Amino acid sequence: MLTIYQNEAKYDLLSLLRTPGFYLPALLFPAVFYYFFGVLFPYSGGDPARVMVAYCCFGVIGPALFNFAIAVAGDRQQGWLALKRLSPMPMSAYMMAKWSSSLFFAVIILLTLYVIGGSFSEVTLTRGQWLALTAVLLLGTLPFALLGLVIGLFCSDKAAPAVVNLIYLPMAFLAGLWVPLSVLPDYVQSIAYGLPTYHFSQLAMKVIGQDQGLSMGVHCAYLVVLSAGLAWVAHYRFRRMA
Amino acid sequence: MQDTLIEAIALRHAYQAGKPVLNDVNLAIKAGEVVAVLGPNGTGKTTLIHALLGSVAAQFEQLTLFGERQHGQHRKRALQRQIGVMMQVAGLTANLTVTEQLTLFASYYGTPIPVPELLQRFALTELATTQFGNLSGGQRQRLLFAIAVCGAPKLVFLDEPSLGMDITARHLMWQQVKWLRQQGCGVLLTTHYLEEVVALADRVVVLGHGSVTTELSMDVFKAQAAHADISIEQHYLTLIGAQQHVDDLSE
Amino acid sequence: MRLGTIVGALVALVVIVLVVLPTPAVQQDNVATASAGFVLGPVQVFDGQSKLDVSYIEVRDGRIAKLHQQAPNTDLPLIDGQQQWLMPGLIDAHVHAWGNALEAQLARGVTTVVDMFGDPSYLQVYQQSRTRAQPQWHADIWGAGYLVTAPGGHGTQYGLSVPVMHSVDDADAMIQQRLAQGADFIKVVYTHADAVYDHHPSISLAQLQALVTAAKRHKVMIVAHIADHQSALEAVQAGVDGLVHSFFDQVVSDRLLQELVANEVFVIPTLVVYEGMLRQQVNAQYLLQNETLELSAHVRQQLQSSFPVNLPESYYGLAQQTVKRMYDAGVPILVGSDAPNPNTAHGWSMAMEMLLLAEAGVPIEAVLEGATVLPAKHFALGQRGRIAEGYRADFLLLNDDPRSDLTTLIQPQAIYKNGVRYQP
Repeated sequence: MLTIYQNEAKYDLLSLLRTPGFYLPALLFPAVFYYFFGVLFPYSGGDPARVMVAYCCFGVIGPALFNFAIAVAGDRQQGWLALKRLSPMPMSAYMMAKWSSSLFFAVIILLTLYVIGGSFSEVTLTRGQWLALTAVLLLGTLPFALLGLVIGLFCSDKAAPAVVNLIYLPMAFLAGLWVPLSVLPDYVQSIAYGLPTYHFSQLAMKVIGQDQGLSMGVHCAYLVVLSAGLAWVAHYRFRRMA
Repeated sequence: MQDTLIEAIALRHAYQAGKPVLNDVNLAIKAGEVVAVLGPNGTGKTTLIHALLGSVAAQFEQLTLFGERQHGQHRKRALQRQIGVMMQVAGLTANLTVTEQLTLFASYYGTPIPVPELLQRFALTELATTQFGNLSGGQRQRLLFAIAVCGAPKLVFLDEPSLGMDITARHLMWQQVKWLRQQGCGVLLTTHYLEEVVALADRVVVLGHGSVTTELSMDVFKAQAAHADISIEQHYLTLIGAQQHVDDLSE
Repeated sequence: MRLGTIVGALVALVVIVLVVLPTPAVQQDNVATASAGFVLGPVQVFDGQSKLDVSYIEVRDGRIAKLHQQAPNTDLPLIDGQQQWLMPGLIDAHVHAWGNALEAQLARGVTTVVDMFGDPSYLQVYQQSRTRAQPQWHADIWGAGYLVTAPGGHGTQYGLSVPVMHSVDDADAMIQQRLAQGADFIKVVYTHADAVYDHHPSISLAQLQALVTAAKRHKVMIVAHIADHQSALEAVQAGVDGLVHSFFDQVVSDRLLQELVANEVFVIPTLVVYEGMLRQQVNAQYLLQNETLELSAHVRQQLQSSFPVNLPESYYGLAQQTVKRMYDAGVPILVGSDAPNPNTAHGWSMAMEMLLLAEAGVPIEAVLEGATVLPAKHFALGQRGRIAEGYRADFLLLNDDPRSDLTTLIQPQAIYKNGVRYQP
């Protein structure tokens, strides 16, 4: 049984690694974005650690959303998903494989941003903080993976990338991942409370002691409830798909 | 005496309420039997496979799989591992090689056929390192057929297996179906090629608007055609009620 | 297997990067061996107020053990002082510290900071190390924790969830709550009700008075953030112990001067922040154009930023005259940078504030006193801010006599914290 999970993960990753068109933008975009707007021209002028963590949040969400939305939409339209569902493979293996592939790229993105932050932006964190930050950032991609899954189950493979960008970029901006919320108008803060990106980034900011001071329980509860909701929608859609 | 591998009584399914795709379909497949499901496009042949295997929420009065009563959509993994499925897959972007796809699917099963043997059996050895997206239509069909049998299943579902195959490939495929029958496999085959039906099937089931309009053994099917002194094609067209339409056109 | 290699390589890379990533230089074990002690000399010693008639300083266990006129006969290693100038580590009386602020301060010779508003949990972490004289690579911190302000008032806009004051009845609870969170003193934000400029909501005068009364009852010092003359006057009349800013809406009046002197109130003018709003010269002149300094992009960007206000430069002259008049009247002037606000950076801005105070007319000796002895006295920081036996071995080595040239403080030759030379 374990081999099914391993094989599925292995071949999903192998397939992605043969698609530079997917991973090169996913890897380069956050790094270049961070280097230019977080390090070279930090117009927001925040604490370097805060800026780095914000870009890390932005960076790791990308592969989760894109890998799920685009790959699932493609597999669904081309018929692979139907074939896999009729096979003895548990669908959880398919999901775990997609998530582990997105984590693989998320780890590379994190390392890149850490190195940029540590080398060019004077970010210093304790070893425990670096580790905790990595753990929070990786685990926190789950709701975004599920969001990508739902998009992939409803959108065509042509529409999925556009839909993801339409959701991803505004969600990142309005949660204060590019420009801190404190310099944005007050109503943006009210919007932020509703966004998973905000609650996710607050958990990460807590690691470096720069969250807005809301209860961590609230952030976790929001993300858990959202994940459960998205999982239910995906399950519902699955059962009614040919 | 032949074992019944799968038996469905009054199978029903509708994607939208009030528009049934399957309407009280009864179907049984025995070991060593090839059942051809015929019918015009859109009569629910593919949905029938999904409904039997639980990937759509179909209803039924009774569904028995390898002697076990089934309920709802759940199928035990132990049962699924005795079933192979071939479905139509486009997948131009799929970039795993033939060997990798076979290795992956074979790993889902308990006692799979070794990959080199599969490659040889389906004449894929020379394509072993070719990515799926670079295969021709017929080559893809061979791989998908190999995927269906890679787990040494007892029951095989083949959804239009010979689509896009040239004559050589089709005869290779026929040999494999015959081989499966020899092994005691039950096979459900959907197709539009009547010579394929004649060459392979033991029994013919004709679907029309989601219902079984005709079910008869191959011998009876052939005998009826001979008796009426018409070709198999003409007999089939009569069965699905299209002969009148063809006659009208030719006049 | 190729994929296995890739995944293995990534795991190895994760481990390597996580090991190599920079961590705060609080690694006490690394420097602990150097703490046994030493004798440093010959040096010229300025103790924060005057030059001492000693040439050798004996350091043991992080403290100044003895001062000598001649090289003492001890078993301790002798470090060549090369006749450099030795003075107490600087004390920045107004900062907001988080992240790596305390190391950044120490790196420029500030060995103690007074935090005027920050996360109490940060303060609590570093309060533990300030009582020990163990080797450490960060400045010590005293602080207010959360400030006291009105709902939506100044201090609530930075993202920290500050408990706010709703009514006069909250006063005692406010003080108790902050003391429970480890506050060393209370900081309150006050703007008088009739202020004409754009400002955040403020607590009322009655609330301020109630807070002062409560603070006196709890025997804790209370200092006020004010931004205009009238608010300063009312805060001083209400009985606060110090003003942590100055103002530039007018030159200080005789009446306020009298009140300041009569109530023995100290002032931390934070001129460098006003200079950023109104003039923007000092950073360019001493830091940004000095190519021998290693300013990071982040520091450079902070030193070039300013509050988005558009006010005439002449207001800065009023701020300067106010400081001069206060000093002349005998008001204690403490040096505080308000880093990391716009136009400031942790550590770098201490010398800038000192240069600006001197430019405003405060004698250099008084500026130096305001950066060492006076903050230690007014904030009750214990045995620091002075070169004397038993005091903490926090000191700087300088090329020149700081009394003749404050710019020598921009690049200290050596920085000692708890008797260990700071090495970045």
